[in-house]
Amino acid sequence: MLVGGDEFGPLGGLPGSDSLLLVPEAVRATAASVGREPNGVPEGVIPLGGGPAAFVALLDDQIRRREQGVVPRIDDDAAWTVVVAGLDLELERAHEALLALADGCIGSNGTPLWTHPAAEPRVLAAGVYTGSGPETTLVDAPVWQQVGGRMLPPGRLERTLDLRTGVLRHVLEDDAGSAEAALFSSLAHPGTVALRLAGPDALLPGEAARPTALSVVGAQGGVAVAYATSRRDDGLAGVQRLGAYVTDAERVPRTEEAVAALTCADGAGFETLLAEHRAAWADRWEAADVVVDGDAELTRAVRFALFHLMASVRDDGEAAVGARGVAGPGYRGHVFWDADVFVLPFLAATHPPSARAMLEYRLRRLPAAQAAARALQRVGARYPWESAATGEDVTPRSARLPDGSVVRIRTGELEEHITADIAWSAACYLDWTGDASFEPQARELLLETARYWASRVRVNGDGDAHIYGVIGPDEYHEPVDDNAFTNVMARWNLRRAAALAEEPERGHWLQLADALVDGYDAGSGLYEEFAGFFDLEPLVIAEVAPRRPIAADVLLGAERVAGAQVVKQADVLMLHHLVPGEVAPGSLLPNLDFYEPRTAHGSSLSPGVHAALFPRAGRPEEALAPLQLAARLDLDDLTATAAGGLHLATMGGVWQALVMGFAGVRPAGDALAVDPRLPDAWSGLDLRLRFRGVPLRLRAEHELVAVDAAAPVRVRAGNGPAVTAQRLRWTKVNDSWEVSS
Amino acid sequence: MKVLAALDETSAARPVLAAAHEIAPLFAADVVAVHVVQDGVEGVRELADGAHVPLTELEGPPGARLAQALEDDDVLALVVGTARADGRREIGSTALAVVTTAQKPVFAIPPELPAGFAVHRLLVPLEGSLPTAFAPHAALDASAAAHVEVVILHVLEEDALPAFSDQPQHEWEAFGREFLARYCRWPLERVRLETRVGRPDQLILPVAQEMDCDLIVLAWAQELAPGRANIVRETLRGGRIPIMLVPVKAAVPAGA
Repeated sequence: MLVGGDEFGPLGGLPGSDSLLLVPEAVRATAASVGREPNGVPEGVIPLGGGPAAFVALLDDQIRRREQGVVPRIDDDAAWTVVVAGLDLELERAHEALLALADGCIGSNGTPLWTHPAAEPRVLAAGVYTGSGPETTLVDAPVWQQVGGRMLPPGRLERTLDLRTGVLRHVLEDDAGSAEAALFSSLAHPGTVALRLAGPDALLPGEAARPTALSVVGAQGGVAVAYATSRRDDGLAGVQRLGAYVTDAERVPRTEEAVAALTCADGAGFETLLAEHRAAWADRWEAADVVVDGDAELTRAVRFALFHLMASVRDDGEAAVGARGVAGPGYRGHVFWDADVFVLPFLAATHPPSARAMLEYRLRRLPAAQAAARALQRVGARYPWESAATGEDVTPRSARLPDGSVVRIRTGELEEHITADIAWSAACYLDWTGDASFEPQARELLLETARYWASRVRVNGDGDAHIYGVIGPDEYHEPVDDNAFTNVMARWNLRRAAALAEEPERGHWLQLADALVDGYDAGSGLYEEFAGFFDLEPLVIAEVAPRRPIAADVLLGAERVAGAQVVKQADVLMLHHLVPGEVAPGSLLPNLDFYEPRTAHGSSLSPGVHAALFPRAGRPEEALAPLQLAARLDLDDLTATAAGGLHLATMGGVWQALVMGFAGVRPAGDALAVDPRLPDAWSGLDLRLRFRGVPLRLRAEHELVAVDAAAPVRVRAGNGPAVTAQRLRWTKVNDSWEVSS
Repeated sequence: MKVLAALDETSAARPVLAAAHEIAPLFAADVVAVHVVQDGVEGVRELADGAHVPLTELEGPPGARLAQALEDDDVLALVVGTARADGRREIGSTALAVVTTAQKPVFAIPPELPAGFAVHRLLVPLEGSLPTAFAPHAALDASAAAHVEVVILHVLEEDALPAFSDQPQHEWEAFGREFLARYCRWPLERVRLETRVGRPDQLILPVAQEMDCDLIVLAWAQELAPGRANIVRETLRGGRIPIMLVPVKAAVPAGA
């Protein structure tokens, strides 16, 4: 950013008028003064002098740079960049995933511009699948982010992803000289990609490639792409490539559509596309940034997570959000509860159109879910554990484990809480946005899922209602009866839907909800994870494992963990996180103390949820380790599988830990509740949110809550009354939050 | 190019020569017998003549002379027997002197080499590090060994168990794909990845048998000091099939 003016320095004892441009947000901008500045300029401002002529020359220079096709620079701000220096033979593919560029429609990994045996250049189209059944996978689209087929020459390669602007910069220094490139996948015009490369001839493609247009056919939809490469030799030799991808989940786009999109992009030109792309990212960060005041490295890791969450989900039509996003082919692009429960809340609270697109994906597959329920002689809608193009279950039926054994996979048959999870995500969206236009669809979704549960529940002679034969989030135990998470989520689903239903369904559902057993024991304050859990071998994994997290089923064997009180991930505790109003008051602490030591955290979803729960239990310091783990999961390739894509649910869990856990922010009726509990090392949390259509900034400190909103918004701090205002301040007095302004 | 078959006057010589005939094609090489003369030569000559294999007779300390012979530019590998004088099936003192110093592959042949031995399927245990991953591949002539199937074995030991297993039906597929991308340079259509949980020194031989492998390929650092090379020791001690010992080069070539 260039800030130009002629009066930065003080005049007549008053600050220079242009000094008002030096706002904190522009701290890393280049500022130059063309004025006389008799009293000097503030630190950091370049005193050019020269008056209006110099100002015009300054602007002319900017125009000249653009006309010459100079490769745009990025701001090397450590708080906003991910740098991969060199090419690590082992980690290269993981690095390519970390450096992926995405625009919601396509994901292009951060492979080097030049070919290399360790590199796996890849472009994936979100929601466009090929194959059928469990073999359904995301379509591999043609690659645009490599040039000329030249081998990566020996030399020093450095790739920098600018999270703030979504630009990936490559620099290669070798004996032939230095090459630099910038690439982006336009957030402003999803599907449009651009690359500019400058350097010595030896590092550039020999001649301009002719425009290329082709299409890839998926099982239902497909991808069409057109791109053109131009080379210019005036001044610094350079290559520019513009490309346009057209993706469609339901039909194969014609190549002419891609050519037309490319023509549009070409008409706009690289510079305009880049400016619009940067502006789009600026808008997204304005709505979603998170700053952990007191931990700069954590802030960077959080931004890395938020960047990929935002980039992975389109904001129109339908958004199929696979467990590993579009940064890699892992999990075959299948959509799990990861999307609905872990990713969607962040988008509902920052960019509702993306959350709405995710819900649209589920709504369009409601007929398939209804058919799945009918096939089991039930009613309503039963969503699949793994979903892809059609909405039919695509869960593989077997798996080969690390010990070489082949096991049956039953999650597709039995992990039914996904149905309530999707209903919850619709409610979550409504609670954050108040989007009245979505209420009819949300009503249909809630009613149909509730109908499923009503037909799924069995009422015994004693009047108690049960759900037999399921798998809960703790997938180490299967099948189980009366899994607390499944039952309570079903109960929540029935009650939430009952408020929208008519008689006789309404009364029946409320009756069923009240009758559903949940394993709660008022004496101990504990929920039994499922019927019989407390009778299992009382093994405390925290005491026997060499470390945690650990895949306990690999450590101990599936049979041993099935017979022991070893929990894969938050199960009972997931209720305290998702539906705290459905669990017994005061039950978080005893259940956290009981279940956490028994949890292996063998799912990457687990650390984030626990990081959210510890602060709610009044122990924020204990949340730091799982939070750091979740935030570093992909950055440090802790799973050794980041090459297959990024763990979007873990990333969403990081945001939830910060917002719902540490800041204690969640919708409460028509108000936004805030109740921060921060660790000592942090002085505050700065959050950007959108509640009921109102963008707001929230600053949470140990003894202060400050809200600055774009319009009056209703907020409640702690257990105090909700207050409606545009600017709100609370201070903590004797453990209570009191309005201070 | 040559593969040397180290023959002596014991019963180990016959399986060594038989194995060498099957191993040499992997290197697109011919078999040449070598014998360090100590207490006789007639048996070796008869064996070599019968197999129509040229014999080179050397004199001097056996280990040092074989190691010296292996250094010749046209020699690609050495085949030796593992029978010791005391009958224990571990590498003998002569072979020991060679394997711990050689910069080329050494094949250790057990006395009970299976009849009709031929190399159709390799078992290549990989721990998951670049030096040990590239050594076996670099040692074999890719085109000459193009018909050979490769079973990569990765044993997850307790201290290296994965932290996460989100969905086993996808997780291990992703893990395996990336493991091969990192550590396997054979064409993937010829490769099968097997993983196990436990101790490699206890699992390599059972997996070799389970997978019907003819040859085990071990990359190692050539240190047999106490506490080191347990995998090599145990595999040599219990192996009923040939074992190819490949010295690990310290450096991995860029772009390997």
